[in-house]
Amino acid sequence: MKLFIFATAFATRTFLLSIKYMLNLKIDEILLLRENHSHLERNFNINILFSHNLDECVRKCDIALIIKEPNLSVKSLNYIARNAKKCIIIQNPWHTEEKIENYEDDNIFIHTNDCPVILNVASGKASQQFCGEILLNQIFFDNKISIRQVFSKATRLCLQELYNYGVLNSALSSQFDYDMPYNVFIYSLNFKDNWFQVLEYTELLKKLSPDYIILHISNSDEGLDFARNIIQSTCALNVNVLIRSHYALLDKTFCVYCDSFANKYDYIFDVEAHDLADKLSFDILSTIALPTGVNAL
Amino acid sequence: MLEKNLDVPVAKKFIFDNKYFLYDTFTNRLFNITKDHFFEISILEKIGISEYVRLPRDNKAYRDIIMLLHKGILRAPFIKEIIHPNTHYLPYLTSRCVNDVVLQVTRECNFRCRYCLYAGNGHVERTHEKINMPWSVAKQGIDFLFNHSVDSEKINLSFYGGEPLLNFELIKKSVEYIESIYWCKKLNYKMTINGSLVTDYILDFLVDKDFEIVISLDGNSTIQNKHRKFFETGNDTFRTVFENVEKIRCRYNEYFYRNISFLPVILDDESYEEVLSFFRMHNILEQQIIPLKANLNGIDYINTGIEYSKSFDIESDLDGKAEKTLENCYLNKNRIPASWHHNGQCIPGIRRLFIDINGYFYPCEKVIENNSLIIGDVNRGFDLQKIGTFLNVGKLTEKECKECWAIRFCEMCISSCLNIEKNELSKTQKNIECKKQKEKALSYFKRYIKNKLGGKIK
Repeated sequence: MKLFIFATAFATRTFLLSIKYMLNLKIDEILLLRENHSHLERNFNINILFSHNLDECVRKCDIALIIKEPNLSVKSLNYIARNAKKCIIIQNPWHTEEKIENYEDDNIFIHTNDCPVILNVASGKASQQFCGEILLNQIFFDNKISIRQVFSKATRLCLQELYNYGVLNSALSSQFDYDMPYNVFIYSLNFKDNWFQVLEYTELLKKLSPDYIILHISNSDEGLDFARNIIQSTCALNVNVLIRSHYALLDKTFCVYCDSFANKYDYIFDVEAHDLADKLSFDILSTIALPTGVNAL
Repeated sequence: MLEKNLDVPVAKKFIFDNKYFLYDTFTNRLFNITKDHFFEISILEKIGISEYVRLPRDNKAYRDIIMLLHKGILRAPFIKEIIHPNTHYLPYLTSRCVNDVVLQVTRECNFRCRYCLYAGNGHVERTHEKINMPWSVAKQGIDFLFNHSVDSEKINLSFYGGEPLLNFELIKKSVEYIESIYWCKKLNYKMTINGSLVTDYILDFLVDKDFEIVISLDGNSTIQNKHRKFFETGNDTFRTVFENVEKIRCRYNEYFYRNISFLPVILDDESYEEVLSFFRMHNILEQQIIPLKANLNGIDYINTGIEYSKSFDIESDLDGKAEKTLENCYLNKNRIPASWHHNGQCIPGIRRLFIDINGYFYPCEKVIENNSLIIGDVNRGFDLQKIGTFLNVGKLTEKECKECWAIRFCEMCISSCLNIEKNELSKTQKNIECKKQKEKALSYFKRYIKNKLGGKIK
């Protein structure tokens, strides 16, 4: 199946890192417009065809996925919606930072089970926390461990729309069923563009008492050491891993993709690394699992 | 001459309305102090912190200053290096984030305006001349934009002159071309015109493409005709321009109120209220008016920093926008990191990229078209080294910047640092602007004290 993605460069790249697992579609080829992508960009283990022509993309694709936002050409969007064989239109959850926040709904946070807890925190859209959330789901699905996953708001909005179109894979869809039993609890928080927001969540962090902490960072994170320190002191646990995106948000305006990283930190994983799932899987499971024969009651 | 002590606090003490104040740069706080404190700080500034704390004194003011020092106020220079935080990202920004291109489609103008720098003798800036941008250059410019904008979410294409509508066919061709290569990103078109050449044909096109248009109209017929004359005849321009304004409103009323704005350039001897009342009288909304002072920031005026280094006056020279910017600086209490750079300098070529008729790149249309300010061209692309130098213009005055109490409020870019005679960025020129920046910050403090604290000051 050929999938044409009509979205900004950031939204497209963020989706591409997770798309094969996230959608229940058999994707053979992705069609992208050249205007949003450089030939030098790293591939995503998917065949990608770059085109200069919208009409070509629309004609060739089986499904068009539009990640809608005000900066997209309305004329082109309407053309795709009219002419594509099948069209999925979802809202870009990262268009404004307002949507990147956390649910305050207590009903979503119902965690009474005495099981390992993974805390997955990030600041703003440039950290591509979305990819980490999908990857965590995949890791536990591949290891046949049932989970209960509370997504960040942006991720949840996006997955909900895909779920409504019936194209979300079952492991992710099952997260909308709160009654499912689970053996691991994963909680994602996003502090928008300000790590200082961590302070507002200290009670929650104490209550969660995580066993494993992941920090998603952008390529331009300021205040990271502060965030790491406050999370560590609140949770009485060291941050286990940093996952860094290639995106830097500069002057609060430019979300730019960078090949190299500006600063060096320990325990850094690259969000685009092909072996990230393997590394993270090993690190998480060896940390949260109990020895064989020892069972939590 | 003795070197200035290295541990002199980065702070500003001043007297206003017979009261004494201290601004501390590190904490970004203003304090109302006593006369005794004021004189203690004078001593501290003279001998430096390390010597001051060893003085054999025990009066109250001295103890207070020691206490402030213990609280982290009155710190010695805390910036270790002047470097713009975006320096590392320049190769990525310049290859992926170009988003706002201004094409100089012509250097010709059918007006001659009193304050227009291009209408001068050519000493500082080029003059109007009958040269248009060739299509090959416009196409190369648009292709450059296309190939360097993958991460830009929207694209702005503006047209600049002279009077851009004198080369309308190039504008039309450029718009048609850019629409044939961009499919995904929203395209926005902008132009500042003198309003004399808006035919029905042109107007239909501008409306169809949803152009944002700024019309340079100074006010009523007396004001407009005083400043702006037709070049060839020397005739008045008001009637022609205003008839076109009415035509736009009559034919496309909704577009008129959404996309048309007016840019009256106000000289020192004119009344802002008089200008504003003209627009009000003709049912032009206040949000459609962008008044500019001709002396410092007028769109047709380029600040050379040579002749116009007059002092800021607290009552009149801080306009609303400038005050808001300064207020934001004051409200931002974030600590300044050890590597820092003052504000004001945009990322050259990224925030805006001006391409002249010959295809040379400049940081924006407001800088002088001088060789020393060229940051590349359509054939060779960006000159990254030069962009890096411009971005880090603070390095010209690194020592002064590290010790400057006003660094949080500084809004200076390369346009203020150019020595036209020597064709280069100059420390001396920058220091002239530094003085103005400090005066501006001080004006803000005084106004802040006056407005916010009023009679509460003891």
